[in-house]
Amino acid sequence: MTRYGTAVIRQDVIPLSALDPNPGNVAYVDTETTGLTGGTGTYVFAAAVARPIDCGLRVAQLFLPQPGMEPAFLHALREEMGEATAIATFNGGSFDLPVLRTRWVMARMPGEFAHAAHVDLLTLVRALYRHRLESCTLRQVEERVLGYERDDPLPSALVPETYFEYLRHGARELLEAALEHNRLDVISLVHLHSRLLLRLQGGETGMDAADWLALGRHRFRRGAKADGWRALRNATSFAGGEAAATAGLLISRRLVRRGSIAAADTLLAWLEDRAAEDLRVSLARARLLEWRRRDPRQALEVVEAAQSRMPDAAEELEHRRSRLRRKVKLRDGRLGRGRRRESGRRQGNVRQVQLEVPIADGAAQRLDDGGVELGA
Amino acid sequence: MLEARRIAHPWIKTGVQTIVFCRSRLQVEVMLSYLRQDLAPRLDAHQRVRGYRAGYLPLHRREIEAGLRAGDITGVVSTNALELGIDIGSLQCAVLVGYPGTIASTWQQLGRAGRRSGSVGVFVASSSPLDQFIVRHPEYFLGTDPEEGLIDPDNLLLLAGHLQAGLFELPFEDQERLGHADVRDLLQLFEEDGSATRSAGRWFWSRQAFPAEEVHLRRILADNVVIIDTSHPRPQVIGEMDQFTAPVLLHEEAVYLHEGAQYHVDRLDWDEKKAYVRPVAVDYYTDALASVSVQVLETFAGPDEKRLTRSHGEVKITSLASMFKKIRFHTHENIGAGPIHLPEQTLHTTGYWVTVDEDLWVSLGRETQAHPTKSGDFAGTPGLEAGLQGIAHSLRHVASLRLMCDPRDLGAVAEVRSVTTQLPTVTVYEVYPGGVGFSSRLYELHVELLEDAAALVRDCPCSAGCPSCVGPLHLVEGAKEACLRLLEAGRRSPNSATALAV
Repeated sequence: MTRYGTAVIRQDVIPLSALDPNPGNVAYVDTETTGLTGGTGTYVFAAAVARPIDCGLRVAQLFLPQPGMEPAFLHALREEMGEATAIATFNGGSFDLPVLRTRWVMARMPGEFAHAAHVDLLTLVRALYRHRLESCTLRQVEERVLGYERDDPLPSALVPETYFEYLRHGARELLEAALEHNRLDVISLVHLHSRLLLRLQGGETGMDAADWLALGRHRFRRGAKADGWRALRNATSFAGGEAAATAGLLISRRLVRRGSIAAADTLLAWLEDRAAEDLRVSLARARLLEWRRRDPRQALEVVEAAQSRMPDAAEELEHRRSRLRRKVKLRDGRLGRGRRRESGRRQGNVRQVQLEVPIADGAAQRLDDGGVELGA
Repeated sequence: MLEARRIAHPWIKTGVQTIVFCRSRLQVEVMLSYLRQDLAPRLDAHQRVRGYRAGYLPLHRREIEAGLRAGDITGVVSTNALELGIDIGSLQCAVLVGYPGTIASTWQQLGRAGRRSGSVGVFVASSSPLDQFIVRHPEYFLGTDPEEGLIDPDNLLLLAGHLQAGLFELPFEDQERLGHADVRDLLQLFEEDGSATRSAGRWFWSRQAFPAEEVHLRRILADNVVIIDTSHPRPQVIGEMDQFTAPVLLHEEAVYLHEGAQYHVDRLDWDEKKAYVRPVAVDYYTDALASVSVQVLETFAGPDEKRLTRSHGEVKITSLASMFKKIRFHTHENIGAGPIHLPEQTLHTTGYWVTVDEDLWVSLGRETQAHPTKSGDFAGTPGLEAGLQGIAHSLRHVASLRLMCDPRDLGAVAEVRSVTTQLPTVTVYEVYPGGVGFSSRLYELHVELLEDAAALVRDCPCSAGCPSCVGPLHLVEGAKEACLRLLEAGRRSPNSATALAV
């Protein structure tokens, strides 16, 4: 009983082994609505909130028996969500939360639908698993990431209709199925978050180059540079493959930005060895040698070697090759005439930070910014 | 049309930007073919002269509009779709093939021409009664203010659409109205069909769909027939058409004209609302005939006690396309025909009808029977029947004049034995589902309408009837005369002793 009237809520506790890593005081929320269009005519008729507690998982399910009882429903929902320090949803940022905010206003509730800091698990899934999934629906994620295939008789698309049938004719059976669907959704979110945290902390086993690459990119985007470096490095340690090469290229780009040209060169040479068929690596190396190290002769060697290794790309590299040949000829000519200034200029523009060994051997420790950043 | 062609063609040939407005889609396509043929020696005739109408796909229309603005397109033949609202720059010449239906439209269409370097607008009157009237009385057109827009905010279908959209936006309180309209009955109807739920004294929308998407701006009905060109490796949609018109333009074996290109309708899948067409090159076009009948659902007022009584109310119009004719280009001769097998189209709307008093009909029938034709056969009832059709024709036109609406907003049907009245009846109805309020006005204007119609027929210089007055009934002996007699008889009271005198 709330001051807005009666709210209908069902609570129970599911035993669950302690979550590792521990997400903390998070409330997981999933709603069922009467439509997908958003707008003021769409309302929330069911919501499930899951909170990890000592012995397991506390799941509360709220239901709206009739549209007129919305104020009580919303109030109770906010109460359920209110005790946590953070809330987590799946695509809640774009859908569930805006709808709830709208409903709060439409129900003429005081103030606004306030909630704790929000983590959108869909965003994380996209960042870390996009390369592995055809689509990022919760169902796909459940099956492919969590490895759990649900025995759900009710497809999501039919859920709104079950509510309307209940309103019109009092049909309960299908509605119960929809509520069960809601419940399973929210429990999935708990497991999903746990798995995502594991990956973010780098504690997951069985990750491949593409996984590390995705993780690295994500951490850099969030400003966690140390984690980013580590992840990219791990990606490059895989023998060959596009993801490993991509990670290596990202590292070398960062090295160049910091002025560590020689280190970048060494890395690229090492990568080229392992990713002999990856044109991007050879191109990056040739570019670096030509423009950063001002060494057209070596650049030319790289290009010609690439042309012989990858005959299909030979034509593409021709333009670069002829330019380099011209430069080399020019330089030979000048040097031949004994102008010394060229050699001075050649080295003057480059700030060098020497590294004794390539990054793969773990000597990049000094590149870490120090400190570890965890969490979502 | 040939006259307009004669006028427009030299301008287009010399590169003067011209727009030709036609009254119907069919006219547009035929005129387009003519003008392109006139330009035929030029290789770019098809790019220089374009057609335009609402049925074309949006990208296509944008292309034409841009071409007009840029000056790449010299001539465009259009329905009133290009009348206003779209920027096509200013052209030099505007040719109107037939009266657009309202003064406002006429000025809009003429106004498409207006280059500072000299421009001209030409109105070419067709043989329709209204056109002839305007051309004989130019002061009507030049001196009158443009019409008021007539709307019927109580049209139930429109109200329902608005109510649904409003319900989605904000629940309705129990006693709440939508503007002035009392919507309780409608809300209850929605509850019955599941679109609304009543809870805690308020009405809520209870469907997934977004109702505003189901409201159409240009028409009240929704289903369109999609036109698919099957000649490509992958079939392509080239246009759409509304359901009511489709049986007449997209029946099987019809030659459908799209931007001057001919397509033969190979198959019309009516259930799926798809027409499968294929480009062809033939020397004829097709024109379909539809038989129309009226069923009165509810009489709002009338009939009164006159010889030609008046009534108005809710009607159901059924239209059945029965056959089509093949007509050769240029000569317009009839070179063939065929049947049309398509379901009846139904239209629920409001109408106004005039019923002929039984005594009057019988006595006039006896009279006409007394006048044999030259060949010796009795014209008899055919003449009187044709007279009834003449009333339908003339009444529809003078009605549109009095209502100041487009004649195409109205339909008219003559029935010798109406299902409702069992008597000879002429019904004038609105072609918009739900009606827009014309019929009640016509009911009020009954006497003036009959007088106007009589004047139209009487003053027409033709001898036996023509499309300008009674319609193409000149082959039926005595049609015009019969029509006039009916109309004039209707003006006299039933008690008049001289009612039956000629």
